[in-house]
Amino acid sequence: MKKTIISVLLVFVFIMTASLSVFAHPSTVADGSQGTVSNLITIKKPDTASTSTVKTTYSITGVGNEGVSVCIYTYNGSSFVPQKNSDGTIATYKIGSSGVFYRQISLKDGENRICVRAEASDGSYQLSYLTITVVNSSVMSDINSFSLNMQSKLNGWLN
Amino acid sequence: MFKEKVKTSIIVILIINLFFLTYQAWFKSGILGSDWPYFSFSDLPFMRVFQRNSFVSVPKENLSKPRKIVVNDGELWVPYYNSDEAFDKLNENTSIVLKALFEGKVEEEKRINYAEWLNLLTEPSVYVEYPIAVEPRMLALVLNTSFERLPSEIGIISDAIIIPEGEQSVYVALKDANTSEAYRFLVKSEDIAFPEEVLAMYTNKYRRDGYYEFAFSTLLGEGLGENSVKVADLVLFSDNESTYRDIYASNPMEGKGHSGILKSFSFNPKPLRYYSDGYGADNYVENYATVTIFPDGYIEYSAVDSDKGIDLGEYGDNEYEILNRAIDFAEKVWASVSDEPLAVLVSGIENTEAGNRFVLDYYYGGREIAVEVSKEGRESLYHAIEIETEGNKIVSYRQYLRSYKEAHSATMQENFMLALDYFVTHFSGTENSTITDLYPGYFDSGENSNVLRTTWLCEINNLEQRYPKK
Repeated sequence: MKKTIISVLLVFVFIMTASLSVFAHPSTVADGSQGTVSNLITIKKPDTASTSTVKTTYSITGVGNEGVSVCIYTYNGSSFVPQKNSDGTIATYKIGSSGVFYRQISLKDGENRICVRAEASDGSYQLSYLTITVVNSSVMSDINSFSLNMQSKLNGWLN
Repeated sequence: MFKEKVKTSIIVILIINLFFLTYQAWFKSGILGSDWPYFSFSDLPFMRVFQRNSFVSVPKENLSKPRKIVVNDGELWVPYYNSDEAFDKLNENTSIVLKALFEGKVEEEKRINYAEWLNLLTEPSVYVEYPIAVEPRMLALVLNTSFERLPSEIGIISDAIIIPEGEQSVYVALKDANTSEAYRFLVKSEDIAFPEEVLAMYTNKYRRDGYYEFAFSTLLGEGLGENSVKVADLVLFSDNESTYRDIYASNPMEGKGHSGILKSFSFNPKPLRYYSDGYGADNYVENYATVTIFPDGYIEYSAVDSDKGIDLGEYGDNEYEILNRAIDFAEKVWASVSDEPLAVLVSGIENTEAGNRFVLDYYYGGREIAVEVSKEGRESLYHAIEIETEGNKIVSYRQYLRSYKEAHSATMQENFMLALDYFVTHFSGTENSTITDLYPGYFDSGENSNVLRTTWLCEINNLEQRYPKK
């Protein structure tokens, strides 16, 4: 009886551990490292590996097989670190039946190096490197700095 | 002497203040915000009689309102829905622009292709989308203005793009809803005040809960890879996780007799012949028409002959008037069971062989409520109200009577991509399915809990039915 219980517990622990090990994106990706495969996802946006934008909020999109897990890493000067959820866990996105992924990231002014890591359930993974340069993010007006003569321009909106 | 005067003044001020605050607390309930929990005269039933007179017709007012307005400041797209904070101000200013366009205050007119039209949305702009596609002349009528002319290629419209250009002038881009033939107009009028700076105000000041993006901008392509289900260019993608208030649904007819409803259909409640069927419905028969009332709030009127329907009066050659008359009738039916205004928007107008078919849907807090009444013993209903007219008569009227109010709980909206996955799976077996809109709303089938939680509503192929994520 004891043996049965221990066996059941072991099987349970094994299953739980196995499920946890699936899609375990690492806490860092070394600059220049390569993935084991290159056919898990196709990045659609940006449409080239190096691109520029005026926006500081940018979406990365792509297509891939259902079940593939995607995680976006940003370069911190020495290696790539993953996007985090508000609770501190690594933010991952599992591709669903639509076969697409869509993630928004915040960019800083200047050059932003991004690594998109896709991992299949068998542990194979793909690394895609992107460089997105923010050329001008000053288009947003500071509402508080509106001067008095601006009031007349906004006539009909503020009342 | 001086001291006395000061004391008297203070007492007078305090007394005036007392009257003012009492008035606010009793009649306005606004002194402590909307949660003021104590007695208010405005809650008394007899006060509602007076209040009702001040109600404007919500559905008629909604006819002229867009379903959504999306502001782009060059960086962010932010959608506003009817009832959102600042929606009315945006609507007011966009309406001024469209009125000027319809009145012919056009300085320049240029034909553009669909790709150019879409590209205008990436510039600082305001995108206005109406709930139904109508002829420009009809939209002008709804906006209560005259109609000069537009190019004949623009036969039917459901949206417009407004791009700030300069002092008292804007570009307006229209496209035909069926053919995507597009034009860009330079509209100039002294009534127009549409500076580019105001767009950042609307994306920054009023809404900070995230970033939205039109599908065409995601570069995913219409087919989302190899999927049979397509996604239209103007579906809004988002990565936000917003929380929305739950709402409480109830049947306003509960505990009330049928005489009020019957009177609204011009049935005399006294000598009526009626029978109850096996589905619990009461069927009333009179004057070549039947009214069926189900206990859950589903009601159905049907005239046996088109000549015997409910007379809406003469409406001349103004086709918009028949819709107004039909709305008047729906409000009359509603008033027989509820003291609240009828909060619906017109979500479909169809010209049938014999006349017209109008569909109206409930909404609460700016979000649509998809209704589904699909039970034995009745024809399925996917809208709050469905009205069929022939000539100047209503020959069929169906409504699911529901009242909504805010519940105390709230629910986190599921991620957009999970909803997209759901609908792609749901429609994958259906040929030529294009998701033409996907947005947060509520779903009421009357079968589950009375507390409705936020969900996603999907529009397919620009058709009027909304599919909820169940």
